[in-house]
Amino acid sequence: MTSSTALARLATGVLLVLAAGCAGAPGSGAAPDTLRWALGNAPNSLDIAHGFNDASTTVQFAVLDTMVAIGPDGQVVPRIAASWTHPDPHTYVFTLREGPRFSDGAPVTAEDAAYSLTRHLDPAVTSQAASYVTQVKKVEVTGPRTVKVTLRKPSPTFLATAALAWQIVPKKLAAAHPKDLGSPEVGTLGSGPFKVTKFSLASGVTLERNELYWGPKPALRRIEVKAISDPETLRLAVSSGEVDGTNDIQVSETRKWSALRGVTTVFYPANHIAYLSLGVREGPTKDVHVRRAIAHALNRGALATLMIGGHGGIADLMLPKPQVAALYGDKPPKLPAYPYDVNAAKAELAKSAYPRGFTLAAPYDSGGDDVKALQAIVADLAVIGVKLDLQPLPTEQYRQRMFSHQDTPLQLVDLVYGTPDPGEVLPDLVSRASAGPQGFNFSGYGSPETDARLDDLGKHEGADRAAAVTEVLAEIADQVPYVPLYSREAAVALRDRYTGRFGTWTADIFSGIRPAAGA
Amino acid sequence: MPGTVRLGGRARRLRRSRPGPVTLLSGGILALMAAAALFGTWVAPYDPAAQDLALGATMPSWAHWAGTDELGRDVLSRCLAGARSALLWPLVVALGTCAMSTSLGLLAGYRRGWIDAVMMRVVDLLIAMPGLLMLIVLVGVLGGGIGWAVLAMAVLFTPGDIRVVRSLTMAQRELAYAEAARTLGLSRTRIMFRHLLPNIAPTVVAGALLSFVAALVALSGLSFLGIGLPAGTPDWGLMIEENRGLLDLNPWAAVVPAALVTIAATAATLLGDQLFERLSDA
Repeated sequence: MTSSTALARLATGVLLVLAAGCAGAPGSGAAPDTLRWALGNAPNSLDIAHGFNDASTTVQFAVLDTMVAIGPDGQVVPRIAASWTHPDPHTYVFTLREGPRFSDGAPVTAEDAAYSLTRHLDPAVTSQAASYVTQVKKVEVTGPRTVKVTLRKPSPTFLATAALAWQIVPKKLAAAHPKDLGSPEVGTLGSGPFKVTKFSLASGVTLERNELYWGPKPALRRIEVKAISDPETLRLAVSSGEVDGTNDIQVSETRKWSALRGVTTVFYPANHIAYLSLGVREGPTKDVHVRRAIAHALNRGALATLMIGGHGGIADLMLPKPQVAALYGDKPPKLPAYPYDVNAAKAELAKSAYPRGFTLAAPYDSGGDDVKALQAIVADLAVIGVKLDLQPLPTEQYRQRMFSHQDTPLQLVDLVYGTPDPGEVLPDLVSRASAGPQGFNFSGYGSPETDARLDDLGKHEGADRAAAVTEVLAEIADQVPYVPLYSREAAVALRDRYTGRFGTWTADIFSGIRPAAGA
Repeated sequence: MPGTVRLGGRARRLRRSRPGPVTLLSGGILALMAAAALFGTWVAPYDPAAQDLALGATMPSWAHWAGTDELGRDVLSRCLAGARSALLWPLVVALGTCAMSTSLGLLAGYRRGWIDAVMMRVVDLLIAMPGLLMLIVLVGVLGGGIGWAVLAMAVLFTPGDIRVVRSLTMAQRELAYAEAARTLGLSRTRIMFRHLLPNIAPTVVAGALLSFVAALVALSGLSFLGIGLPAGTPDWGLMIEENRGLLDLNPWAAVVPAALVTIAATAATLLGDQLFERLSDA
């Protein structure tokens, strides 16, 4: 320790020791089959219709079964549905497995399964997952154990989105509580590996093993989930043993998590992409040469190092890396790229209507995690004469402006997707339907031709589908409404008394955790 | 008393008027900070905005005396440049608060009647509101930006000072010199600002310095919360927020600006105390 840093380190050390002391004694004698888990936010609902967020779905997937699931390699695998057929492009017929029961002992019926999907289309439910099932036209019970789903148009993404949104709940309970199923007052009932024994918005959730679960018996008997919103407090809580682990690790904090003693932090690819959105409807970024100049001016390698360190990499295509891998394997298409090249950026800008540069207002979320990246982008663009005027806005105000698509010519977008299918991402990015309020087409890019290409995605399968996706990606690469920046990894931290197996498509993280040998 | 030389009243005042060590120290610190606010960007060893992403956050070295932050920016240069926004905006708040509270307090205390009654009810209302919370809400609703933050802060700080000035004015207006001025037919404005104001000046000056301190801390807090100045601006509060995650890589990146806020606030408070005592005695 050098003398110049001794004082600051000492002060920091004292604070950390005090904080750790306040956090409680390590271990505190919990049984090894009782897991104490921390989330950054408290779950607000145990129903995906009203709690479609990371904290809530973490608990939901431990309690509720889905009709199908996504396997470790990104393929759709059976769950409550033992099998399914796809007799024509518009139709899926699911056959339920025999044996699943809700945790109160009632059997899971075809009626329950069908209602669990149709309820998301009911305006009275105001489901947050409704946008995931818009392609569903009709759901019918066709036999004691069969459910037939008819789609409005062919959709290769249907099964993948069903793995996320089609959570099975008892029809009777869901019909009685269209708006408050999953709330602390009503709770929920599932056929998953765990059941809810306590749920409070203030103190968190307690789960216990569902002894009626049809699948492999989970190693954990009891799980206590609580919220710790401050990242530093969360890290201290895991470090001190107040909690046994968390899956809410900010990527900027990975360095500190990796250094914790007695804690193993597991990293795996997240279905994530961060990109720069450039408004194509007005202002300087309407000019494609300006957009290409911006793409060339960004040092994405340095940006990726700054934001994600070694836990991820540069994004080359406008898709999360796991989706690229699921579609193309290890041979992604070679598309026009814009490597970091200041001279090329200046040459592109010279071809535009703004050869000497310009100033662009860039509102941003002052409470967001991307402020660092924006500052690096400001410095990169200043080199070619593009001045970004950063305007901090409170989170709610920024999101309102972002989703109203007003006065946001340039913004940094950071999204995590739920399925391995590019059909989840591309219509969001470049369809005209998504360019209106509440849509995710922040650039406003789109045309009838692009919409036709997007429609084509649903008509193809296999190699033809990959080719159709490549066409859309090539158009994005050429017109640059978005500049892909980086993809990051996700992380789970576990104290060494537990082990766990996690991956990109792990929905129920708790079933993969077990006490370590000798714990 | 034999052998003791008794000083006359003038000599005693002169001895009292000699600045003490606390005044000198706090005044000196604020003068240094003011110099940094004026000339900091010129004397800074590096461009405060210059980034070196390859370097990243580093501990203090001969090249970077206070180390660098995560974007590779020199912390010392940013502290020097940050003195400008750290001192300028609180100064604007203090002057604005002082001007508004003095004018309105004199008016209410001298005129009394319905003007006083209305003004005091408004003051009661504003004082009853939680200041910092109101500030965060106001700045949030108004769309962020340092201009709104400064304006909102000046408005929220004013009511407390109005009460103080009003009380002092009410006491002064009953004294013989004020009565004499009224008998001579001087205008109300002249009486308030030429005769009463100099007699309440010590409190006004001390109040202005306290407003400066409160604004310095509150604006640093707003910057810490990401409200006010845009990201990347060299500002002490913003630096604390940006660099608090670097305690394991370069703690000085957060500790130095935090210390500067503390030192500036302490120096201004002490100077305010000293000035109040000295002006009251004069």
